[in-house]
Formats: sequence, structure tokens, C-alpha cells
Amino acid sequence: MTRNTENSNFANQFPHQAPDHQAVDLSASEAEHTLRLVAELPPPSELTERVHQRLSEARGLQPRPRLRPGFWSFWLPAQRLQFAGAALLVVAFAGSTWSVYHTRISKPASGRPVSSAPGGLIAPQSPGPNGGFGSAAADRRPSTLTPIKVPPVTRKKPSASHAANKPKAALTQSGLQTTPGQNAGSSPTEP
Amino acid sequence: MEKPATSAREHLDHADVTASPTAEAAIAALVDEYAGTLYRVAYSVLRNTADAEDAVQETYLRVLRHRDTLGEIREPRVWLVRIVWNVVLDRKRRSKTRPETDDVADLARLLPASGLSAEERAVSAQHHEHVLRAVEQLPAKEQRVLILSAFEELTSVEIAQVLGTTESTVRSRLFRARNLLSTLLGHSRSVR
Repeated sequence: MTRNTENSNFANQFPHQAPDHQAVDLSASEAEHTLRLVAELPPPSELTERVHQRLSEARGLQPRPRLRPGFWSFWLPAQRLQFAGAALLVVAFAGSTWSVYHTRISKPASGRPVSSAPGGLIAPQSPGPNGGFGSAAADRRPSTLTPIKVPPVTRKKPSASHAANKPKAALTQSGLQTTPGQNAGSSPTEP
Repeated sequence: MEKPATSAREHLDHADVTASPTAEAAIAALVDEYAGTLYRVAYSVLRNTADAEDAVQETYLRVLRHRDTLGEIREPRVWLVRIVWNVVLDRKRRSKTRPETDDVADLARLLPASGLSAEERAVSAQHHEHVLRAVEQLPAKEQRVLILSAFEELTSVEIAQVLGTTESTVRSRLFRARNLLSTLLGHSRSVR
């Protein structure tokens, strides 16, 4: 083999670097002989079969696409139980609806006779004018509906002095002039 | 090893190797063709039959996980040896606390010594044991190159590909390994 020739002649390629290349070559070839014996130890029988088996197991363990767990699968894992549960719910709903309908018709609240159709079918009673509800003669009138009587405001004619003070009062309201009672000493009009 | 009817290279050269049945057929062909080589590479480092077989199986499981990229592989043998080499080094690193002295003695007794007398066999086993202990004392890089160079299937270029380095680096490491080994073996002889 070319590889062996290359290995065995390797020390001869660099004689200047080897102090005693014959001794090196001998020792190295002894060591390489041992390593080659190790490398040539036969593999165990049926190695390939075991590897094939392991690979097939690994392929089998690969995750498959799973269906999304539905509402039923949380508390009823078996499909038959899920079907039975669904049927039970449907029967219970239909039965309760029928029982409520039947009870209301057979026991009228107002005491009026149940009107029956000629074919044996029972027609539901029509409700009263207020949808079957009454006020029991109670009449509540809120107090806000009673008008509050307010006495009329009498208007006086303004006197002459009131007319003269009117612009002054307007100035006082706007804050430009102080009232005489508040700051009497500083008023320029005061003597 | 007996060659399969359809080689792994032909399977990998198939037009649509990424398709599931084709990829599985290619992996099966890789197992038939290279499982023995991978086992021997693993055993030369781990020196334990069960560990070496586990390493081979793990290698093919990694191949199965990356079966989508099988079509891009040009050198399946070197690619597989590189994978098993990494698996083996990883396992070796993890089980570093395990003593290896018994492994060396057992391995030396396992090596073939046909045509030798019982006494010669004992001497031969002792010699192999000394050599293997000397190999174990080498630095890791030189030791790896020396172990891989013992495989006739691998050229220096392929060893460089497996180790992820250049061919000139492989050759210089091999040269250093041989020199160191000769020193170690000479020293052990002088001690004896």
C-alpha cells in the first residue's frame, strides 16, 4: 500500500532532522506494527445488522404528526365514550326543553281554560295586553311631575339715584375701582 | 469486507438523495460498506468493543439526522471517519477518569500472535504493551496522527481532512511522533 510505504519511508525523507534515523525508523516501525495490528482487529460479527436495527428503531421513534387534542379527549379518552357523552347531552337538552314546554301548558298560571285545537294539539295561550303583567291598581306618580309654584317677580322702575350709580357699579364689578367702604382713605374723590 | 452490490457512492450520486426512501437506501449502503472501518477507528482509540460499537451506531444516527445533506457529500468514507473520530474523542473526553492501564494490558493480549509459542506470545504481548504505553505518553496531536496513520485506508491527505488540518502539518506531526516514540521506547529499553 502507498500509505505504508509512505509511513515507513517517512524518516528517510528528513534525515537531517533525525539524530539517529536508523534507530528512529526501527522503533517507529515496531510501534507502527503494533498500531497496525490494533487497527486490523476484526469488528464483531453482526455489527452491521445491529447498526441497521438501531437505525430502524431510530426511524420508528421519529415524531409523527399528532392530531390536536380536542375538548372531549381531556376527560373522555375513548371515542365511544365521547360519542355516548355527546348523545347523553343531546337527550338531556331535548328532554328538559320538552318538560318545560309541557309543564307550562298543562298548568296555566291565570286559571283560564286551555284552548285546544281540534286535532288534539294544544295551542299556547296568548298573553294579556301588558304581556301578562298587571300593576295591581298601584299608581305611583313621581313628585317631580307636580309643578312647583313660584311667585311672580315684581319689577320696579329704577330711581334716578340708582340710574346715576349704575356705571359706577359696573366699574366696581370689573375691578377697576374700589368700593368706598373698602379703601376709604386712599380714594381720590374723598375730601 | 464483502462489497455490497450497490456502493454507497452510487447511492449518493442518485439524483434525488434527499427523498426519504433513497436516503435510507444510501444510509444502508454506507452501513454495509464502512461500518467495519468505523468500528476499527473507534476501537483504536477507545479500546473497548462495546464503546466502539456504540460510537459507530451514534455515527450512523448522526448521519440519519443529517440525511437531507447526503447529496452534498463527495467523500463519504472520509466524512464518516471524521464523524466517528469526533464521536470517539467526545466519548474519550467524557470518560477521562477511567484508568486505562488495564485496557492496554488487555489489548496487548488480544493482538494476534499466530505461529508463536506460548513463551513468545507472552514476550510479544509484553512488547505490544510497552509500545501502547509509549503511544499513550505522546502529546495528543502527535498521538492522533500516529493512530490514524496505522490505517491503510487513509492517506495523509485524508488524515488531514479528518483532523481538519493540512497535509504538511500531518507529516510534521507524524515525524515528531516517530522521534518521540523512538526516544520513549529507547528509554524504556535502557530502564529494563
